[in-house]
Amino acid sequence: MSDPLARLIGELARLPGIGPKTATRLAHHLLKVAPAEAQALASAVLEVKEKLFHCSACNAITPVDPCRWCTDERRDRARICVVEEPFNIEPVERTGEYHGLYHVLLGALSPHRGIGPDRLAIPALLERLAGIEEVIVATNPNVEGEATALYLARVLKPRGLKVTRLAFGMPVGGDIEYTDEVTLGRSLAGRREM
Amino acid sequence: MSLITSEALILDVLDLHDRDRIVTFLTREHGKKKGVAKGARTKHSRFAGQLQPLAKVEITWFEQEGRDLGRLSSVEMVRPAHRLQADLEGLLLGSYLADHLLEMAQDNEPSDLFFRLLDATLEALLADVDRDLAARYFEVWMLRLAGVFPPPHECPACGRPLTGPVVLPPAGETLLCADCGGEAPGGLAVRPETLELLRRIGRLSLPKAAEVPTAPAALRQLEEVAARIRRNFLQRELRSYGVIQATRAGL
Ligand SMILES: [Zn+2]
Ligand SMILES: [Zn+2]
Repeated sequence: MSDPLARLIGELARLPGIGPKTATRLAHHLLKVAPAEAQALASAVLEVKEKLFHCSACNAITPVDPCRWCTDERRDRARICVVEEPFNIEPVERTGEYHGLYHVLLGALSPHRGIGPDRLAIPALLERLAGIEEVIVATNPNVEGEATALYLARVLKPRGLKVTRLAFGMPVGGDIEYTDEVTLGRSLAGRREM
Repeated sequence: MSLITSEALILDVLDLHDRDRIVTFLTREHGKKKGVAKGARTKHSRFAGQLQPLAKVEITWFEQEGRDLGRLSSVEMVRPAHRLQADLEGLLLGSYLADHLLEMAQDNEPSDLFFRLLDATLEALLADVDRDLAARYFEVWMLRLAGVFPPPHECPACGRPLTGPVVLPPAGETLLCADCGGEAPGGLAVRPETLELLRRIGRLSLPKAAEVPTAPAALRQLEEVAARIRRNFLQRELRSYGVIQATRAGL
């Protein structure tokens, strides 16, 4: 059996954005907290893995499959908004400007990182197009998001769909996650046909 | 701790934590560098709009002895690459160019020739030079600067001028005359027009090389020759190469 502290540091260091130094600091912090607090963290991690998963239709994070956006009959089923990551849905929802469906690609096109269309949930999107009139591409306004949007437009337009892209009033290199809802709402309202 | 300012070409920008980005850039004097742009993901960051892949910038960073990751202090745009990044093909090509430097340029080593090659290629692309020719020009010169794929004047094995048929052997990093390299199966017989294009690329700047029309067949074969030599040299292929081919195949 390996040293428990080394094991915890090793596991923490595997998290994105956490280097060995931060992992060591976090592990020593956890050593000091009350047992109940450590228990709460451990069970929260387990609960997330037991109770949440990707929606089998749209890839959103959900406790029920299909997710609430896919099953809500009041939503506009002629429109689908394509985002890179599950956490990009919430900012779009917060604008209050959008009431259609979602589709999460789980990434963006980036050749030098080895991410091509085959690594993105594009086939699943193509299977969901029955009854769809407009695909709103809400990928990030950076080179990867732009390449993804242009690729989708090339694939979707020949199928007779209207493909639109958010009109970002922010510098290229921005991030949907960090755009306030007023700006994002305006970008949605002013979306342009690709 | 030292503070360094240099002209740089941005190769890659990657999110780090909730607020920051890691920027990989190429300089003439210090080679390939990585630095953290603190707060670059936040809305009112001083880096906003400056951290564009393939942009030419003036960059200032703090460096600490023994640490790989610097800390960016300021980035000023010198030449954006927007014109190349307005369409899918341009974006794919840009990622492919950056991939070469990310894989083949050395950290912390003077890289004046690599810098000049990428800079001149981008300059020409932004002036609408033929992209196919630009990609072939760049591939050939990257290999040449890395020390493989010399200009095809004489056969490196026997020393005779390469006037007749020319062959790229299966595991080769250079072209041979048919007498020296013609035996092994899996070799590639290089066509005269490919050889002419290769010599033109070796002799002229990219804008000058583009003044003469080039046969598509020569461009295609040169792409194949360069890809084979690159694979033999790197012992694998650049990730972007396969991804770009798969992307085009899906359209
Ligand atoms: Zn769903
Ligand atoms: Zn020979």
